[in-house]
Amino acid sequence: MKSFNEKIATNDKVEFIHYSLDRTTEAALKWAKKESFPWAHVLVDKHEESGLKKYAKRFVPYYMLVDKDGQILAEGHQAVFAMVDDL
Amino acid sequence: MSRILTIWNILILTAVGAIGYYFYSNHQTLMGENEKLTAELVELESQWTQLRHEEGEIAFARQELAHVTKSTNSLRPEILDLGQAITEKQADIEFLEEKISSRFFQYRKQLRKEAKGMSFDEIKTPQGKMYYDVRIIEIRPDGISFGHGAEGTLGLAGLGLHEIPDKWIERFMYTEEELEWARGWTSSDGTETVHGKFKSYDEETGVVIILVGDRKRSLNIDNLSTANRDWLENKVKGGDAKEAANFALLDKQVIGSKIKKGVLSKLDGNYFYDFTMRNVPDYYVVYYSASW
Repeated sequence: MKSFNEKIATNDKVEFIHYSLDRTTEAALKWAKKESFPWAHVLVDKHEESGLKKYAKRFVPYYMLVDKDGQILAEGHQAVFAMVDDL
Repeated sequence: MSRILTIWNILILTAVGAIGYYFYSNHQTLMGENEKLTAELVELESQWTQLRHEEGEIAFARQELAHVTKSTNSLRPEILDLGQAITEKQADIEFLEEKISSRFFQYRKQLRKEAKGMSFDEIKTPQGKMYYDVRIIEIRPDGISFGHGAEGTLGLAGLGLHEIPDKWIERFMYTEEELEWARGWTSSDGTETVHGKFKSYDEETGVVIILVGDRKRSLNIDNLSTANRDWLENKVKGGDAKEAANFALLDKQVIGSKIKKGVLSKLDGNYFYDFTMRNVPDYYVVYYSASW
C-alpha cells in the first residue's frame, strides 16, 4: 500500500491492477474492505476477459510490470517498484 | 579625266551598294517581324479556339442548368408534400412516444398494485442483507415496504431505492430517472453514505449539491469516494468526449484494450463498482494475490 501511494497513485503513466485470485467476489470484497484497497481489481468472473490470466504464476503474491504492448519489464516487488521509480 | 570618271564610278557603285544593303537589311527586319506576327497570329487563333470551346461548354452548362431548374420546379410540390409528410410523421412519433410513456406508467401502476401480497422466499439487498419469507406490502416510487419472516415472527421492513435488489428494480419497473434519487454519496474513508439526486457541482469551490427528498445537501468533492469523484468528472467535465478519446488510445494497447471498461472493479465503501479507465497509462503493475 505504501509503495502504491508513494510511487503509483500520483503517476499517470502507471496503473496498478490487483488480479484477485480469490474464488469468490465476496471474499475479494471482504479483503478489499478490510484493507481499504484503493486500486482497481480484476475479480474472478473477469479473469478471462482481462487478458491478464496468461501472466499468472502458480504462487502469490506475484508482482509484474508490463508495458502497454504486453511486454514484461520486471517481476517481483522490489524489481517492479525500482523500475517504476524511473518511469 | 579618266581618273575622275573612275572615282565617279566608284562613288556610284558605293551608293548602289549602300542602297542595296539598306533594302536587304530592311527586308530581313520585315521578315523577322512577319514571322513574329505569324506566331502571334497562331497563338491568337489557338486562344480563339479555346474560347469558342469554353463558350460551348458554358452554353451546354446553361442548358443543363435550365433543365435541372425545370425539373426542380416540377419536383417542388412533391418536396413540399414530403416535408409536410415528415412533419406529420414526427408528430405521430411524438404522439406514440407519449402514448407509450402513458401506457408504461399505467401498466406499472397496475403491476405494482397487483404486487401487494406477492411473496418471495428470500431477497438480498445490494448491501448484502437477507430477508426470508417476504410478502410485498407496497411498491412506492421511493421504495418498497414488505413483511418478512415466518408467521409468528413477522417483521416489517422498508427498502429505500438504493436498497432495492436488482431483480425488483427490473420487475417493478423503476426508471433510471427514479433511481437517480438512490445515488449513493460515500465519504472518502467509506464510513458514511448518503443517498440523493445530483443537482449541481461547482468546480471552483468543489461543492456538490444533492437533493435528499425535498432537502438540499452540500458535500465537498474532496471528502467523497473515488467512485463519486469519477462520476462527477464524467458528468460535469465533459467526460464522454474525453472517455471516447482515451478509449481510442487504449484500443491500440494490448493491455488497455482488454481492461478499459467492464472488466475492472473498485471499492466504494461497502461495494465494488464497475471501474472504467479514465487515463491512458503506458505501464501496468499487476499484482496477483488473494486473501487466503
